Amino acid sequence: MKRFLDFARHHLITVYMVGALAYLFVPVVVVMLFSFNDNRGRFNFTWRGFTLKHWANAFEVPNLFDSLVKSFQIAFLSALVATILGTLIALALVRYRFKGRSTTNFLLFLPMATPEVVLGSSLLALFLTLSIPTGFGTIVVAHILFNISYVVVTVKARLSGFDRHLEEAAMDLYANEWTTFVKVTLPMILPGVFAAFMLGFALSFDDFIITNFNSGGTVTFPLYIWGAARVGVPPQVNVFGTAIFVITVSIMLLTVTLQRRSDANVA
Amino acid sequence: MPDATTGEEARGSHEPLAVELSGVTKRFGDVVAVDDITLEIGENRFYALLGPSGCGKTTTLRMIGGFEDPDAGSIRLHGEDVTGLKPYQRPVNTVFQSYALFPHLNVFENVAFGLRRKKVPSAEVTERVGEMLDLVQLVGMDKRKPGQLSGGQRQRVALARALINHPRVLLLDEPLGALDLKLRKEMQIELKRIQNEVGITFVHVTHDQEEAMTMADTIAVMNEGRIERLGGPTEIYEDPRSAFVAGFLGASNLMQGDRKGNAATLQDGTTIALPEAGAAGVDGDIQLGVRPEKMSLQAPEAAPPGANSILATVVDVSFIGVSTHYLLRTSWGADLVVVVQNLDDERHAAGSSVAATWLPQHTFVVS
Ligand SMILES: Nc1ncnc2c1ncn2[C@@H]1O[C@H](COP(=O)(O)OP(=O)(O)OP(=O)(O)O)[C@@H](O)[C@H]1O
Ligand SMILES: [Mg+2]
Repeated sequence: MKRFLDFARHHLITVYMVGALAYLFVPVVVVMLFSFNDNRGRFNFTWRGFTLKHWANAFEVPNLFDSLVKSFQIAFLSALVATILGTLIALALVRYRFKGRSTTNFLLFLPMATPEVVLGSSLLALFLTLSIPTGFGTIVVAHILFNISYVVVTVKARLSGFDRHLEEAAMDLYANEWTTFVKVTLPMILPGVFAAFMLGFALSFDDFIITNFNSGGTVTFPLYIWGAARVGVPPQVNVFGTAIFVITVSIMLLTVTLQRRSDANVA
Repeated sequence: MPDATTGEEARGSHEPLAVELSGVTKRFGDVVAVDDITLEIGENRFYALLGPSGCGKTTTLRMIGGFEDPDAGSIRLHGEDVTGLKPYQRPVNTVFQSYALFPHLNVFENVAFGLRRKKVPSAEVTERVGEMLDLVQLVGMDKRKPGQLSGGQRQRVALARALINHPRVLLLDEPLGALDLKLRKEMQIELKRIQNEVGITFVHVTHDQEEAMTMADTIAVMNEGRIERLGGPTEIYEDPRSAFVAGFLGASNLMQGDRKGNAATLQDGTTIALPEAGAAGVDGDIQLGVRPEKMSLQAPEAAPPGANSILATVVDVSFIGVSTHYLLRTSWGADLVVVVQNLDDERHAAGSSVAATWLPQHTFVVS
């Protein structure tokens, strides 16, 4: 009887897991599958047979690739700036007791709690008031703004487990403040900083609402798809979606493998 | 290697001391962690800062290392005022209690860290790290990360990482605190050997009196931010001078007495002879003490002449193997502990009357 229960329990977990994974990945699989769909007309919603032609003509849809490049540029720039600023803010917040520290903590939390519509529209109002023309620059500024909060949270988590004696030990061994930061602090928090950068990149890359308010004439990848959806999304969108997904997963697998190997080396 | 008196001689010939603290005070808010400490530590000493938790040992050490700035007073290293200098500007190195090894660097790079900062050529770095790993008996471990070492090995890396820089003073904050008893005993001998070999001053913080006594040639007993007693291990054990030090350095029997010159009268009228040396002091109420192992037990009528003797009743006897511990009660109700080596089989049963005797020079007076 007990055996049976154990079996059922294991079985249940397996079924549950498969179900959960399916729920998560069915949409992704559909996107991938329809990048090979030999669709008729402007719509790409029903399966008409296998083809590689969209992959072959990936760059032929006007503006699609341009928007993708724009999104990459914006994501990279905003994540980079936000990571640098956010890491410094996190260091200050964890390390020093200064006036306005808790206020800063609270203010940093605000952009995460504020609905994107509010954030996007008030930014637009600001840019209009200051008569700053909206476009690539304002998108980057807006993305840096919300990314900083996420970077601070991520890096702070990494810093709170940090042994201050390590920095003291470095200083004891003739490293000045800057060398201590470069040789000890930064390498130790680097996984957190890298995670913060990736998070910022992802958040920026697929942001729609805030971008839409502040984009001016600039068309990012999400804005392109939104525009195209009304007249029919070209299958090339699926092609790029699939490519991005595959590349991301490959990078993740590579990181994990490398980490495993370096762990195994030192063991 | 110069002998243990070098420190004193150096002072005579005006050679600078390794470490000098004068009037050093450190406050954290309302807490006075270190209260007006003045300390002189000679060259090539094994110096222990001993005291209970929270007495300010770590704070004192951190001020010497440059991790805390004193609120008052000055710190000199080899005659040079270093008060206010950064840790990396001081010719001292520290072994931290938690070791603080860099987890992202392997053993070699951990040990080489200080040399790399000083831009020592890489061939010399390799050579010196090799020598150092040899000294601390870690040959062949250079490629490991700190996470893959045992506690004792980490401790040795921390030591090597500090010693490789040839500091003139090495600061150690409870370096053996995280080790188990057996390893701790081994490392005590090891540390002592290394100190002999490198011939520099070690300032060793510990709350373990046995460790301090085994290793140090000078011990400063601290209490509530002040130094209560300073001296060699035997000296401060035999003559602790305060009840706190007497209690902190092992067990002792303390008794109230009324002093007149070189003798004191106990509550039951017994007269106790005080030691000749250090007998100077005011008459009146005093506390006198005797270490349990300095006492011996006799039948009341067999007390040897010339010895101090107290009549008491045996309350409890515990046999420990090498020794027997007796708990006695005096006629006025005070408890005494006597430790007797099991040399013969003369035993005193619980309930019997005995005389606890000891030599006058084994009596000490505490304030
Ligand atoms: N950074 C700090 N902020 C506030 N109080 C502190 C700080 N460091 C030490 N103290 C206080 O100063 C006093 C002395 O601390 P210290 O760490 O020097 O003690 P210790 O003798 O090393 O004790 P232990 O044996 O427990 O390590 C303690 O009361 C402690 O609470
Ligand atoms: Mg301490």
